[in-house]
Amino acid sequence: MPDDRPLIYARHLVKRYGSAVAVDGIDLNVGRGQAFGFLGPNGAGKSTTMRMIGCVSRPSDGELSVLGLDTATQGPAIRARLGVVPQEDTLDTEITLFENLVIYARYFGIKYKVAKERARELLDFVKLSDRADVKVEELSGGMKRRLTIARALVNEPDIIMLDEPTTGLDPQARHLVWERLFRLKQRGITIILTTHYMDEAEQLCDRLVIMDAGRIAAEGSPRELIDAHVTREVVELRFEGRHTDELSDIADKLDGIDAQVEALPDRILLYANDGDAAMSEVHGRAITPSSLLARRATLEDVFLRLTGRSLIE
Amino acid sequence: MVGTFHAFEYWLMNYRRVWYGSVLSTFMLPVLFLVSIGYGVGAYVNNTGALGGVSYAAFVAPGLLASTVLQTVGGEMTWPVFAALRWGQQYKAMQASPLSPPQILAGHLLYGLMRSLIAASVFCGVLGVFGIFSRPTAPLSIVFGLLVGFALIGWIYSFSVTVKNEVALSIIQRFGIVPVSLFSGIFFPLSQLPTYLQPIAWISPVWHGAELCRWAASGTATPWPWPVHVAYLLVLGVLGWWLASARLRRRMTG
Repeated sequence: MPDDRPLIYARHLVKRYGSAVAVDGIDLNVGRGQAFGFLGPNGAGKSTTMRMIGCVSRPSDGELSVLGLDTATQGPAIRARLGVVPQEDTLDTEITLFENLVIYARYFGIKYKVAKERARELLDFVKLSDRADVKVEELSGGMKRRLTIARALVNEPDIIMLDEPTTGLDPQARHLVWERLFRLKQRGITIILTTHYMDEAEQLCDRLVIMDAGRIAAEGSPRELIDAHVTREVVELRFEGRHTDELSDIADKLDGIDAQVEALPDRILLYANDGDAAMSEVHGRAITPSSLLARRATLEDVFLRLTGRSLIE
Repeated sequence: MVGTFHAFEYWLMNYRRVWYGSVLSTFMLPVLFLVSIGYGVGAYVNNTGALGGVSYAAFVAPGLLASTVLQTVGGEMTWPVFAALRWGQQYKAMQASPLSPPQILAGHLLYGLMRSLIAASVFCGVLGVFGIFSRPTAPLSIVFGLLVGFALIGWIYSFSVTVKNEVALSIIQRFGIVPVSLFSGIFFPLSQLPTYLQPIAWISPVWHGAELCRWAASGTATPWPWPVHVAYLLVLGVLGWWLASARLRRRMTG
């Protein structure tokens, strides 16, 4: 198999549940060694897409191949080479960490001796060796996530798929997970992840798609997306205590300024190439926000421009 | 096929943690039943012609073996199945591996059958020690007990993967297992029931199993030719397995 063939290839992929459309005709092209992200709010169709790639949910329409194999007919062969970190941990809480890894390896037909060796190595990799023999129920959320990541690596997968790997974790636990994912990236493992955290997407992903309501709203590297859809800088204006209608009245006063104006329920955004210049224009119009700051544009702004909503609602 | 054993291994590992508790109850149950019902009730009803010339303890014991298998399968294939599908997520974990739903199912049913085999064997052993199962054909009742387990397992499993909340699982205990135990000719010969009620037992796999066990353990002739009883249990088992497979597949792939 030539190595330049995409590991994941989808054309007009659709998933319907009754009359509801969860995924509405998306195209995907993920190459070997990439870290590829699905960014979008809850209900955008990210997890459904992941389930189809993981061959546990059948596409309603369209074409989908993973590792050059057809997901409709070669599910077991594909799953044998995937590592899956589901959104909700599916660890067995009543058995030990070590047993969780070994029994999971057995599902892949890995011999006991090899399974035990890998279990030890992987517990070491996710820094849980000292807890190998305690029951999973005693672990914190962050530790469970790391254990799930270790478990997903037990079959030495070509692709590791993570569905919201750090949702619900405290900042320190998130950084530990990210750091382990960076290590995997360095090893050349293809990473597919979904997230609704733009900082996660910016940190980890080489390429990503922004999904909204089952469709792909934009695609590219984090930098490309920012360059293509928003200005270099963003000025945020907040007016303490005032919101929605009052803010859109204020926004009207900013008409003609050298920036695109976006009034949100809690703040006004000015998309400007020169943030400082936009700030002095605001002052020049006798508008006195309670706080005023210029910052670099982020993926959150891209999402906001494309959909008119923020990622976490 | 190999995948089935990998799924089975999970349940085996699980059993290793709890086996002593379950074996104890498997031993205790036949002893308690025998002492209270076999000897206690037997003191009143022995020498009744309808028993076919055996003591009440010898009459009731083979039926109790069949109903013990029913209890075992009823216990193992209700809450644990519901839990593996919804609470513990063991099935989801398996589904991320190359295992397919039919293999996940077969692994779990195999475990249920293993538990049936253990229950029937222990029961048979205890009754052997008490001298009630003394005929050389008595160990055949283990095979017939296992057959009862096979006949029932897919049906109970299908119910457990279909119900939406766990309260429904107690329905199977109250309106399934208890009535079946009462109307399967375990505690009294079926001929004692009014004729119009007897067909209820014909449907019940436990009745077929109890009659087969009675034949093996006490030499009492089976009401119908034995191949008919065996065939009924086999057919019921195959249909149940097929139904369970269809239900689980629908539940897991969507």
